[in-house]
Amino acid sequence: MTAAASAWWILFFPLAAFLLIPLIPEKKRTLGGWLACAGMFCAFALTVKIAWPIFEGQPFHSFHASIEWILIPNLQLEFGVLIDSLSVLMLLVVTGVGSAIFYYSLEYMAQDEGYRRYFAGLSLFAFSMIGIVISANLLQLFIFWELVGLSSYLLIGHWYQKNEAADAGKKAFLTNRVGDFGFLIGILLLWTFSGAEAARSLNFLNLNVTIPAFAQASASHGIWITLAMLLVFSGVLGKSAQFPLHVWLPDAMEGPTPVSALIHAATMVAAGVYLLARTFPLFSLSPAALEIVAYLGGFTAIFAATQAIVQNDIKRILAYSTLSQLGYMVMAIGLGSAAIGMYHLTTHAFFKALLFLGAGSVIHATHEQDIWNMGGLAKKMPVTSVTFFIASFALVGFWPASGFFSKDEILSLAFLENKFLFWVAAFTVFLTALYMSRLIVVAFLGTSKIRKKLHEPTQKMLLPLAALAVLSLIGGFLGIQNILSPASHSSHETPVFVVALATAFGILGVLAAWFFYRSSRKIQNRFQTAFAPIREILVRKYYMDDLYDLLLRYIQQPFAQFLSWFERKVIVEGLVNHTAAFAAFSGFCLRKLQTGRIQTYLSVFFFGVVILVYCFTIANLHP
Amino acid sequence: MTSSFWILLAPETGLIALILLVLGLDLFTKLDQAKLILFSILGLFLLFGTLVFVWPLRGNALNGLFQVHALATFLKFIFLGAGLLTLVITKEFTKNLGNRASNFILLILLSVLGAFFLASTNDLISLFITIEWMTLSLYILTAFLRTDAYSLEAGTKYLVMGAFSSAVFLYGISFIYGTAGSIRFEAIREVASSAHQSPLFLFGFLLILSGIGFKIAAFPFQLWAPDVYQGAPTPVTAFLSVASKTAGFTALVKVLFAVIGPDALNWSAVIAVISGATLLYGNLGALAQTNMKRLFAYSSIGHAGYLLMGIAAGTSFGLQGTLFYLAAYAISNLTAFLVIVIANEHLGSGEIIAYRGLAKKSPFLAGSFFIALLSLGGIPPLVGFFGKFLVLQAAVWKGYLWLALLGAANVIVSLYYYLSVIKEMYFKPPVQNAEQIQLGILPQFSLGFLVASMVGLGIFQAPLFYFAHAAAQTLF
Repeated sequence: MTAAASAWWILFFPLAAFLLIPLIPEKKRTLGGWLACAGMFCAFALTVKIAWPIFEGQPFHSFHASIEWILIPNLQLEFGVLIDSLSVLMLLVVTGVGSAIFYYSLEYMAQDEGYRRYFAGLSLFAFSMIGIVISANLLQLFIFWELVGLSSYLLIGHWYQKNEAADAGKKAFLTNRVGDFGFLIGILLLWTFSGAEAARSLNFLNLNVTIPAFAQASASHGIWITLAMLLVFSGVLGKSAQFPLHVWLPDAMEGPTPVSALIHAATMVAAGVYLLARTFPLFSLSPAALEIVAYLGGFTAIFAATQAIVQNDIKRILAYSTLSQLGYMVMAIGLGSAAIGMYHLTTHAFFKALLFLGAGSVIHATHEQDIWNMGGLAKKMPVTSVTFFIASFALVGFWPASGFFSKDEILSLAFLENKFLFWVAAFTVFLTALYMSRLIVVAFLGTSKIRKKLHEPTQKMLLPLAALAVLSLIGGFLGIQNILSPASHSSHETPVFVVALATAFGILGVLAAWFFYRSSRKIQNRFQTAFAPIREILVRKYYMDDLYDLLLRYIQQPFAQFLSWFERKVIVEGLVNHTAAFAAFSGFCLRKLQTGRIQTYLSVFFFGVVILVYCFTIANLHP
Repeated sequence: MTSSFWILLAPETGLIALILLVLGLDLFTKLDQAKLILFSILGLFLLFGTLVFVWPLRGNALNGLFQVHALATFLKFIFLGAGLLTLVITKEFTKNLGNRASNFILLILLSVLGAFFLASTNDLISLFITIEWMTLSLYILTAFLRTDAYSLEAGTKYLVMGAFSSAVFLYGISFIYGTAGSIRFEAIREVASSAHQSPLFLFGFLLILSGIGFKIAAFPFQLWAPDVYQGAPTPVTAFLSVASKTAGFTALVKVLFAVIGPDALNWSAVIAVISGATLLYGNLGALAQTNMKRLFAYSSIGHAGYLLMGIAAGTSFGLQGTLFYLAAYAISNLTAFLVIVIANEHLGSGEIIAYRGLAKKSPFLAGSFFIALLSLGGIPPLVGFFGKFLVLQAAVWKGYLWLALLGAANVIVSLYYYLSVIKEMYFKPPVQNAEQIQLGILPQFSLGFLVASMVGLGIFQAPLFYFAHAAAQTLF
């Protein structure tokens, strides 16, 4: 099998699983789960096969294959695969972490009523996500981009009987709509910039040539490129939940925990970062756009981290942490290094998926999500706890865990490029350490508040935990950073100052949490009263939800009402009804002609010939 | 490349052999009528192999009378597919045919054979003979239900109108022969492209155009269609609306592009006007219909308008669009008729109201009808959409913006009546008892295949697009 054929098969396996699962009868439902797993494992195996040269330390030869798809003249679109080191890395993350989470779900969802629906949804997601990664052109990417949005919606609302879950699904879908609307306009702008009318293409390889040519053609084109790239970035804002479109991600935690791990931590939300890396050659044409990307990423990092400190739901803490880490990645790309952003994406996928799966393991055992109701889990669930600690260690960025390496790359990049963002990012390390230590101290240490006896899950859930724990721990030594830019590591050494500062901030955060949350209730209360106003702001999420509520109520709602009025009165009553009346009237007239008598028919035929001759003579008299 | 006679005529030879075999089996054995139909279906299915085999070949046979090229093979694919599916439809209709089903299928096979020769003709007389050959079978088939007054009325009307149009057609040929001195396409084309033709040449051309206008039911020669379509046995209606219409367009394309040539005689504007009028007549007339077959008669007139639009452009691209549209229309319309024949058998009525709640009685049948109607209406991503897109684009490029706008407006009109059928099927409760309709293996498989083609060719148009492209290039 050629490499291109393998790439098509990677896309096909999850699709086949998605199509087959609904056909499985409810009695044999476990077969559905295994089918989904099989699809994902096959995709993973093929990805490893494609990526094999990388494991052997050889340079990766990218390739591109496509079939013609839409053949409208002047709008030739292809449906293709583009496999380069970037997409291989992302494919490894998606199928690798995906395989672990699919396998984990077998037990986690075993008792669920919607078991087959869940696995069908998961397979649809895997298909769409792989589609994004291997897409060879921007429009194809957009189609799969919408498909992951759909599968995310379906999976967030998996327990649709619960109002919160149904609302969260809607919120995620609608928020993404806002971003994707801009994204689509951005794509269309890029399309118009990509050369002469007949030769336009949205293929990434072509765009990397045509758009720079467009930029150089005239000095005034720069502003257009900036506009187009910012519109593309608005898609990233939605999908990767960056400020101000971040509001959907914390609510998305209403979905099953493996879904949160796969979609809302490791892969889908990282699709925005992947898109930035994929279109980086275009972004780099516009320094202004990159600067905005960097600042928004940095802002999201610290903005989300502050909110994580006051959350009580274990999954919501992790969700805000995801927002914050995605902010890091976006910032890294904004500062000019797609490779570093992707590096952090990869390590983050390992440890954040692990954190969510650990949280899932806890929730599975305790049926409890509020950390204040847990406590002392470390003694009762040692394996889960150890893996959770490893992941937290990596998240904060302590040596030798994987997060240390990728985060220090980002920090040193910021140190060289933008001192302000460097201090923002460094302070975020302190916040990260603070909220993670708070979570661990309150939920895993101390005395248990749970009466019943807790059990570790079986190997189906522990095996993925162990695998991800190993990756989180040693991810920094695997040479992931060399896949994208073999030269980047040697070009600038990480300043010792940066490493020392980050580690110091991390330790400071841990110590602060340790002393504060281990202290007596009285001190805690006094502290909380002193900072009550700030706490209120944080708990209310900086009033972002209230702001959106106001916007909807006073701007969107009246506008929608106006449109509704316009449609009912002007379009339906005015245009449609009159058109219908006209059509019905003409139909009535025509029927007069249709007498059913053959005499009429023959006469009309004859007149037809006469009219034809007459018309034709006129047409030929005036050449 | 020249190939020998038998290789070039492989599909026709195969079909003749099949006809003789079916005739022999019918006369000399006591084979069940249903089995005979299955045998014929199998035979036609195998004939696809010969068409695939002939596809790359180019050549002449019978002293230049019979031509094999991409266009001919493309059209033969449509004729064969239409014949095959008409037999599948007939299979569901056998009950009404009594012990004469074998005659019925023999006539259909003969009609397909006529159409095969029509696709390969290279002179006016054989064009006339083959198209009459095809239509003669259809006269009999239309009046086949001897006890049904509608069928007899339809047969009579069709015969009288058909005879009149054939006379006009033949009269036109005589003028052409008289002025050009030949009936061969190439010879006439030389005369047509010269600066000064005799007015009689033009007159002859117009008479031929009128005769063909009858076959494709174009305005103002379309009045027969609703009566005949409604009265004819349903399989015959299906065959008329697809194979007979394709035959008419085959003749039209040959006359306009091979005999006259795209640049001579300024025919383009006249065809554009006819196209617009046909569109309006078919779609507006369909709005008020209550009988399903009559609705489809009007809608097929509307589709002839779109098919003419591509031809009116007079370009290779326009012809390609028309050919693509023909194939898309054939697939979608035959799907619809397969559903109609099954539904009529179970519902006992051909009125649209009888389709109420069909979705409850058979989700598969209603679903297939749904897809077919949307494809006919031109909804993406189904194959019908792309056909409409190509002909509209061709009209715009030719400068007929008004025609393209008219076509776009008619899409909306056609959606109105297609969607009313869908509304009856899905949103109204069943009139009588809601018992399930059981489908046989053959219709199930056929419907599944047809729906898959409508969706598949709609999403990936490349195969059909290039097929039609190669066929259209033949005449340029």
